[in-house]
Amino acid sequence: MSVMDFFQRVYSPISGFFEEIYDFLSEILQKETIYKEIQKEDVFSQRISKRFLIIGFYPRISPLWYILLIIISLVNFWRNKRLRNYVLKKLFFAVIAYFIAIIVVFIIYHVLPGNPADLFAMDPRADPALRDALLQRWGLDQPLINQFFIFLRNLFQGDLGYSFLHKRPVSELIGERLPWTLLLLGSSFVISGVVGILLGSVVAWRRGSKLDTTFVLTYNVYNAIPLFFTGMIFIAVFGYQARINNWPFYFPILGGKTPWINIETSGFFLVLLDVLWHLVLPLTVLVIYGVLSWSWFMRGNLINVKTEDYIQTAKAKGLSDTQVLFRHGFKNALLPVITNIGMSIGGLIGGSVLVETVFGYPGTGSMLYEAILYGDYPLLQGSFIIIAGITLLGLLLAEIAYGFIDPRIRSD
Amino acid sequence: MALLEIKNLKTYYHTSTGDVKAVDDVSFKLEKGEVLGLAGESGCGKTTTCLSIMRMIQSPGEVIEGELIYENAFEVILRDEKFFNRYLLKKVFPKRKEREEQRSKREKLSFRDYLSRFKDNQIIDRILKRREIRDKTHNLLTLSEEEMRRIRGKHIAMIFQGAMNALNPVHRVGNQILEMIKIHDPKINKDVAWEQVIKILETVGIDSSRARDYPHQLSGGMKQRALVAMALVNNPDIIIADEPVTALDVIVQAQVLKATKQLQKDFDLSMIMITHDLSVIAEVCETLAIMYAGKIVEYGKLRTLFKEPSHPYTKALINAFPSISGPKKELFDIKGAPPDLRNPPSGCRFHPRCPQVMDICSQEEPINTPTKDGFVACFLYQGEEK
Amino acid sequence: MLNINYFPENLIYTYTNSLTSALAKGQRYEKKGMINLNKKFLKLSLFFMAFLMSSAPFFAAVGQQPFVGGRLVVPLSADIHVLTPFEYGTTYEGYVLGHMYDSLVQYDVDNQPQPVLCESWWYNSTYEKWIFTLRENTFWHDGEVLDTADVYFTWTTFLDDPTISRRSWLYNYVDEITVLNATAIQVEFTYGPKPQDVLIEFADAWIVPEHLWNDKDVTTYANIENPIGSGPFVFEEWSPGQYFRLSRNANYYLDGPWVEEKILQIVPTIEAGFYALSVGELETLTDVPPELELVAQNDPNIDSHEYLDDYIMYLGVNHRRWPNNVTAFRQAILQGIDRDAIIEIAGFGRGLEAPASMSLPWGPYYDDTIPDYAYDVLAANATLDSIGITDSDADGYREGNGTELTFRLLVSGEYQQSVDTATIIASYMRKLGIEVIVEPLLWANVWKRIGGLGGTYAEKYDYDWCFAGWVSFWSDMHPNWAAWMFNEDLKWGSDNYNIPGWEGAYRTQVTDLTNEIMTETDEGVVLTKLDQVQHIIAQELPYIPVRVMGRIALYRNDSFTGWVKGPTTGLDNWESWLAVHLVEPEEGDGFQVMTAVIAVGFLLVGSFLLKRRRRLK
Repeated sequence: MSVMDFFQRVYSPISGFFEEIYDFLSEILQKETIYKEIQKEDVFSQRISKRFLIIGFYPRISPLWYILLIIISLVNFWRNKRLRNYVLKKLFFAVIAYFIAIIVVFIIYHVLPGNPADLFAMDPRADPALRDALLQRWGLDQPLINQFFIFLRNLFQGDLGYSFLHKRPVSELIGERLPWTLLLLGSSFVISGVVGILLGSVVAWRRGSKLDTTFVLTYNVYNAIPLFFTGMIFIAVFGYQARINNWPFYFPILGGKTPWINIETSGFFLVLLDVLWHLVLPLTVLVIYGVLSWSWFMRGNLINVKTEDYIQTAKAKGLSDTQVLFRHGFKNALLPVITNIGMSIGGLIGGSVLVETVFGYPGTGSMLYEAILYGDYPLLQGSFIIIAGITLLGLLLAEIAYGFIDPRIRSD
Repeated sequence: MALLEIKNLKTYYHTSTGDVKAVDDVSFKLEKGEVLGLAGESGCGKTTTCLSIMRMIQSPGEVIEGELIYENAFEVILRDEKFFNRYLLKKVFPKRKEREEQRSKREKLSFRDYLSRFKDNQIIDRILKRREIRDKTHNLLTLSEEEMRRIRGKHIAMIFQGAMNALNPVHRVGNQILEMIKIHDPKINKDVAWEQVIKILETVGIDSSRARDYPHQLSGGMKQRALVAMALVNNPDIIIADEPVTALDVIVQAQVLKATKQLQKDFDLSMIMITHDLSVIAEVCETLAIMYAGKIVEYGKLRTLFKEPSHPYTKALINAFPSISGPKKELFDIKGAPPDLRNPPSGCRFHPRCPQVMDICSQEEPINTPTKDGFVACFLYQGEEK
Repeated sequence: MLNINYFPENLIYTYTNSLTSALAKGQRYEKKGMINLNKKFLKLSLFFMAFLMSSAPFFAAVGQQPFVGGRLVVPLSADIHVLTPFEYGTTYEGYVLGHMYDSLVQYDVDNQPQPVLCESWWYNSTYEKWIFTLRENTFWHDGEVLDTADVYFTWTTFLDDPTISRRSWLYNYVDEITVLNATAIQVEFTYGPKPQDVLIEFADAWIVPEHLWNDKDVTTYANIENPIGSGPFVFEEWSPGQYFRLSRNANYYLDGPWVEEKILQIVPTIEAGFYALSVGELETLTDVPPELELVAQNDPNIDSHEYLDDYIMYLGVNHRRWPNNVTAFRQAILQGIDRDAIIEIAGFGRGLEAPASMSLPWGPYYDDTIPDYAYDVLAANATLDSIGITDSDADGYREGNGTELTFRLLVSGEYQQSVDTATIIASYMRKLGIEVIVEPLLWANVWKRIGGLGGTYAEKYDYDWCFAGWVSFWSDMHPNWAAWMFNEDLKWGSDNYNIPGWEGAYRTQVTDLTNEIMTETDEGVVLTKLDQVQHIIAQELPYIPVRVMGRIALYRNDSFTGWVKGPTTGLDNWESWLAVHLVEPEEGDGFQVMTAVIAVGFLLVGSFLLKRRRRLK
């Protein structure tokens, strides 16, 4: 019996209890219920409840307050001319860059050899009637510039294309797999970013020490090993050996969730536990890789910053080592890291093919790889548009954040 | 006793090709209110001396030996709070009621106030748990890192050269000076501290409206003055200025020097001014120490050195400086280059370039011969003294 | 042995009685001895309950063989895209569809047709009229009745739309389909096709429910939301990229299936799949690399099943380029390759030498009198010399037409066996003095070069040699196999799929012969003509066959049993679906809870008494 089986057996009789708690909580979070209850009670408990509401239950604050907050911050932002000009300029260039990216996508997938129209026309297995119908629908028989406008029109309507392989719209395909990818890569990104930056600072500050040399060695060794090999080692140790030798914990080898544990049959809590259980091994592989990469990068930056004069000034002021690092060195070293963070947000959509293939994790990486192998160009085109958009958005946000952190940029 | 007394300071940098003897057996004194100039060529060990005083030498450098006797060192000795609360409080306030009153008060007496009530050194000994309290306590090299941190910025402050990068570009100037105050007095009220910042900025001649600017928005001279302000804000005993005006043009130089001189007079500061520019020295300093290749070759009052320089190197320095008002002379220069400090010349380190070199100069090192108001290390005067 | 059905309950009852009485006595007498006895009883009872809980699996209700229940997890190598019986693309989709949909006739592991949806079939003397009688009381998964209207709908959809990709060629010869009554349907052909044709080609189409499909566009409908079929398994859930969940069709009209749930887990990497197999997350695994096979041999819980596949790996030479179109050249090449050695080295002993006629070397239609082209380097060299391809400048390589002969051998780099085989072939060719350069590429790129996706005719097929595989079209059970493979007028044998580009008088002769075979009903005449065809092929060698694929399937034997293993089919075939069942029945839920409750009760009581033992004194 696996751990999950046993757990499920014990849990199923009492799952109803947890569901009740969940329902109860979701009820509490609804406005009408609370206000009704408050009106019923006396003044004293009303005051307490209200205070508790404001402190404890954020969703309890009326959305109007949030809207007001957003309006106020927008107005402030608008009034700050320098900041406004800076952000607007960045936004303008980002939009232009995205437009150019879309044109490039269009050229690649429609003009260069291997484009869908050619494939359709040349593939003898495609029957003529279907081929003509689809060609007409996607305007592939019209001159190129018309095709481009049709493409743009479809794009503005949110239509990213139609995958001939899957016989479904591309947006639906991506939407299916995206939550899994974001779960895996998003958490890995956040964890490895935070931990990596801190680790990099600590290691850089103790440059030349044993910690530093160990770190450099670990980074080089781990980077030399391909991700799928590391994944396989994790499977062998924590999935296979752990289970064979009856260690107190073990992890599953394949998939994102167990097929027979669903919300209807086992309740929300168990599904959550199951998903997290399946997430551990791929997440660990990616997090170690991510932590090492980010800390390596941060370490390089911080070593450069350490040679600057203001670090010496800060030390002469009487600050301790840690204080100098985190108050003076950190912010300066963080600037290039922020740009990198912005750029890598776009990569989250693309998934990680190696890890997903080894663990059978249902992310967009394996979907895109499959699309390349089968020549499913509409899917690739649609995904590329999304990835390009998110990357540019990430870059834009990074640049805005950069402007907030580094005052020298603002003065342009 | 002198405010700061350096005795036989040796600071070496360990490299793979040998130890660079940056500061080799340097000794001098600094009295209260005195402005000492430390002059010499580039690379003769001036900055290293001052970094050693602040104990900011990092590996591969290391202070090998020496004594840095600082008069007010004991003030920053870490206190044992519990012991202090129990023992000293009882001694100062024998009555319980007063003790409780004192405990509940927000403004407590400072450690110095407590100690000042005791003239008895033995009690101070016991409290501080040190035996040879005079020398050890006053020797900066024996203090721990945390004690040293209390000295840096509060008792001994440093102004670095090259103000271009000496201020952190992502923090506002006012905040950086505020930080200086807050480090040493964490419980200070923010507005009171900000008042101090404004005051000190005005003292150095920076308009208070510039306090919330970033360093890249200030000009070079203003940055330097901000650095000076940062050093002064805590009323330190000693200010070490490492080539403060070298990066500035002449007019701004004059302004900054004037302001510095005024501040020194007003606050009765002691200063160590490191520079290689004799004109700057002439303006501000009283005492002058000439360094060459890690050693002090001459030390004395400014007037004496300018009028009657003893050491050939000093003579060369003074004469190398062209006079605006005097007759046109050929520019005087000293032949040769500063020695490689890994293998300094034997004997007197100046002997390869000395115009008055003798045989003995390359064989033995000269000892410090006292002169009228200082000393000189040269064999020319060694016999005279006798 | 004790009657295990009654053993635990009695024991608990008597033990409870004795324990409570002992405790009661202990309380009354308050003697140290009694208290010690009580403590001993408590300890013993705790140990006993622990033993009971751990041995619970043995105390199970005995049922009847085979037990219904269990969850079977099998691998799927790649994800599916569409689930429509009309337009499905890959074998994986076909595999999944087979679980959910039924056809009229199904072939078992011995290549015999079994009636599934139909009860029987009847054909007239000229084979032109066929009547299929459907089984009664068959239902769709949503409860609707399955009758001839659905069969009629499925067949006419195929008949009316010639562009459906899974449409059989036989529909071109269908005259009329009529529904006789609710259980009988009649098909009339324009000529009398052989029974194998009708059963394999026509009656094996999956029947779709008319009430759900009559308003759908079959060419674009993906059918992935909730496919309703009549098959042994009901669709439960498809998690894209992860798994496919099917549950047992309790109303299935045949015996079986016995597994309660079947999970098709998508396993992209074979090594991860092997780890999963070893720990029990998967029950079977196919195409395991040899090193893992060795590991599996040491595991007593894993058995293996070797079988041969209807797939022949061949060396395709581009007949559109000289000297590939010279028959003697091709014969020399085949003689210069030691196919047994290739099987041993590259195939690790799995597989068979493929006969020169590109058919499987068993079955009623195989002619074993064809020349077998045994490995003979001397004869190969002599043949090459005799056609004028000689090594005139003695550099070790032959020249033809004045230039050095160099061939680029395309092979799919995704399969190590193929690359190894291609490398070995290249080394054999070097002994003959022909330079061969192996070019491993992604299969998609290989297919682009050899499958005809270029501009002009010459550009279309831009390759010299290629190493690929091709199905032999059921050459072990159907005489029409040669037609599909070599006939110029049929889809698979025509130019698009005739990878080598074989042309000429012999091709025409084969085409004519196969056309005659297709319409011939006399078995003897069919055999004679097929022998003729095989001899021509063996002599002309349009493909240079190397080996018949041998494959291996690993399966666990500790949870499930009943796998039907055929000599030429894998493990998870249609018969296995209906036969696999649990080895041991599962324990009931109630008993576990009861033992758990009793154990907990004893633990609580025991701990309470142990804590209060001082007071009890």
